[in-house]
Amino acid sequence: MSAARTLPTGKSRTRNIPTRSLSMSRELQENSEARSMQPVAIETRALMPNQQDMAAFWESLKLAGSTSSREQEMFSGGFSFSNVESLYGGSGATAEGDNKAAQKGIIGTVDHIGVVPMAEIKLEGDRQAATQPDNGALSNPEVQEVRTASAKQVETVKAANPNVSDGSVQNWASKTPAERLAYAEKTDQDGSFELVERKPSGQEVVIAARQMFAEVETKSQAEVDSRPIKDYGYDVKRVGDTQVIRSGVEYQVGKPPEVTEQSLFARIGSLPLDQQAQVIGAGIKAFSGEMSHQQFRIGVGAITGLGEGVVGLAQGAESLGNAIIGVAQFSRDMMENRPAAAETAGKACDSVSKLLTSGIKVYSAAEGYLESVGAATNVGDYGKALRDVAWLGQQINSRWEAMTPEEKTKLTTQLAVENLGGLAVGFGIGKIAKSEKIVETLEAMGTEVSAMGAGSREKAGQFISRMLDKLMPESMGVTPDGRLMPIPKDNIRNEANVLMSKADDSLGANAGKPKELQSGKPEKPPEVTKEALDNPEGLAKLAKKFGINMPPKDTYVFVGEKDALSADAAAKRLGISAEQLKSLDSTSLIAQKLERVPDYRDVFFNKHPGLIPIADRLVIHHGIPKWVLKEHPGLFSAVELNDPLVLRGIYRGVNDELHNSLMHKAWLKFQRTHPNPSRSNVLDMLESLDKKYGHLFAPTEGD
Amino acid sequence: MRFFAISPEAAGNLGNACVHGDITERPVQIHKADFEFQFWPHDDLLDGFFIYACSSELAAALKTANLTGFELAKLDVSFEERFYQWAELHKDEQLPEFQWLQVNGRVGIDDFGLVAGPVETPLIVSERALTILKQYKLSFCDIETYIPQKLSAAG
Repeated sequence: MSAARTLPTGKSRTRNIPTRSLSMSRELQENSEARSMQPVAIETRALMPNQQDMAAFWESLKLAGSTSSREQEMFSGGFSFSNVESLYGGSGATAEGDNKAAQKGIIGTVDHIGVVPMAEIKLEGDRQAATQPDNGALSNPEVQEVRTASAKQVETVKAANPNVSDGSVQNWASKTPAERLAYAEKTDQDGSFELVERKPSGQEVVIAARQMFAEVETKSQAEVDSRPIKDYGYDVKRVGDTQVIRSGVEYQVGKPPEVTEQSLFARIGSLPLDQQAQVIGAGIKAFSGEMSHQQFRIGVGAITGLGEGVVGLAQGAESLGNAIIGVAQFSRDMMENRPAAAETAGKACDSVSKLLTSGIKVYSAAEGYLESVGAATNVGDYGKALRDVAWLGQQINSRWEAMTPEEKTKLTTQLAVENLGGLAVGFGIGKIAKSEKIVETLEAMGTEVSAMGAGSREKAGQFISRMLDKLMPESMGVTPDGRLMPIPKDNIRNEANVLMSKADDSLGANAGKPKELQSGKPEKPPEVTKEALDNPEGLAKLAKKFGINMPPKDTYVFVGEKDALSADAAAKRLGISAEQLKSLDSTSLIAQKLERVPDYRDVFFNKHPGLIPIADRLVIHHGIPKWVLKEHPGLFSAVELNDPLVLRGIYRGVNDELHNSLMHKAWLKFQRTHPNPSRSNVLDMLESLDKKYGHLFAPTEGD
Repeated sequence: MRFFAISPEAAGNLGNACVHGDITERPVQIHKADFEFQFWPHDDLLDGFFIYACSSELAAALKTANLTGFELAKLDVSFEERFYQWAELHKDEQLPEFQWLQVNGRVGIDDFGLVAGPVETPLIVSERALTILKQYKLSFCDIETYIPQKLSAAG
């Protein structure tokens, strides 16, 4: 038998889970440290437990799905307690700027250390609820009256019910929160209820529920805690015969929770993929005019648990919606081969990168939702848009897969150099180049960077945007003679601030592009490079334009000096003519304490002709600094320093930071600490720097 | 008073016109400075391998503060051939005027001093000197607390 039970709006049900019921799954136990751990005492970083405060914290830890799951996650793993001795919490323990720190912790004995899945906690909670004895409610005369009501009486009650639905639980369950809200507003329903089946044993089982947004909003604003939490993690120390675990979390308090655009995006990024898809879908719907913006904002507030009324959310929601629609619009334009795709491409790249660096997995969410939930239930009117977005992700992956490993490496390295700078090391750019599914890789990168500072997010966003720009399909156009051809993106996009190489003009590939005000943001080296190599005449023309001699011209370096001289200058110092100098053999030159060495820049580009088209964006440096020649004559020859194996091509755009701040300072410190370096000292230093920064060079070194 | 080991922006090295003592000594004695710019400078204090250069603005501030352990002198500068390629990135900027910050103080006593010996970061400044320096641009300058034992051992 079933009975409708109306819940008071503004409250949410919680289930308390007994401490002893927490346990790990068998698999997790076998794979965790738990097997080897004995029951241990737990203490936290705070000093004086505050029982009352901490009791609330402990209770919150037990509530799966509540905001306190954040705290639980912050402990880096779940603890299964056999005995909780004390709980504490305190505020104002430390002060950092304007913020006071509130610390919380647990002292107790645990059975296990490891991850306790939320699902299992919930399951245990259900079991506990299922064993609760009958509360005697069935003996209530009013209940008995309901149980024996006639069909007519039931219909009368139904008609009087302001929360009447269309009778389809399935339809309601399949709606997104935003859709539920829209429906509720439309039909003027604002109550929550649960449909409960009572078993003969007296046990009540909820078979359906509708929780309205007023409820969620109230909960969100009253209970959701968006204060930043600092994780102390945990460490295990042996104290006598006992292993002591130290763990804890720390809230930054003193400022009211603030929902910025970024925090809103980050909150969405932390949602399960199906809920991210709901937000994306609702965003498309809202910004294509099928749902009011107000409804979208309320829906996003409900889905994220932030509430609609939080300051700043409205702006964030607008931004979110615009970002989403940017992606969806481009996808739709591409699918339908609209010329507008060329114009929306740039916005789409920026939008995707913004969403990804907030942790929102645009493509995986769309694809995953369509494959699972979307396929089985009513996705709503935005199913098409989600399919478009998923299709675009597949296209990007396909284009990536079609590239050779060398092309992938070149593209990744180049974009990393231009956009990530020093961050490239941390992101493991090599792994990105080797990834099979670039979309998933970029999403993972976005998730990783979403927890970083604004500067890192911006750089990663630029990298992702540029990578997508390279990989997004080109829109097609019809030529005057009726042929269908891809419209080059670079010829369409209005990039007044994009810095182009002079090489582009020489190869005729990018006529009419704005000239660079500063170098360092090459547009398409891999393509230009390939084109150049297939065109020896064009390459020679380019080399001449950039002052590169093919073959390299000779220069002269006096022993004990570091700078190369032209033949004329060296001849003048020797008091001979340039022609006489050029005719001297190596033995005669040595007698003059002179070395004939090919020009280092010519050497580099003759060795790497594929880089000639971007020669104006590269500065060629000696891997071993030239002061070695002057300060330690004889340690290395000028010929050795000008060997192509020792020369390094560095993009100008990042060199200020890269070379100046990192490599040059490293060499300066080496110079100071090695008054009399050996060859191996110098070569070891070269190798160590190559290992550290070589992936940023063109071509890469130290792989 | 606390002291700090600082490693200013490394924008150059000894130029060809530099006159110095034994190159294997630490610190190298610089008799005539020729600061050879290799990169476009960003900070107000620069390191050119025992030639320290400070912007004229910073020099004036140091002078006014009556700090000890340094003298200011005219700085000759030159430019490594690749400097011009970096300078292209700063077409709208003007290279600031720099002065030679000759450090001659005692480490841990005067406001500026140089550690003797082959250490990575020989320039030691007092807390009050650092306070002045920090009022100017030190974006690429590494700063760490000076630990005499550590540096002496290395030296």
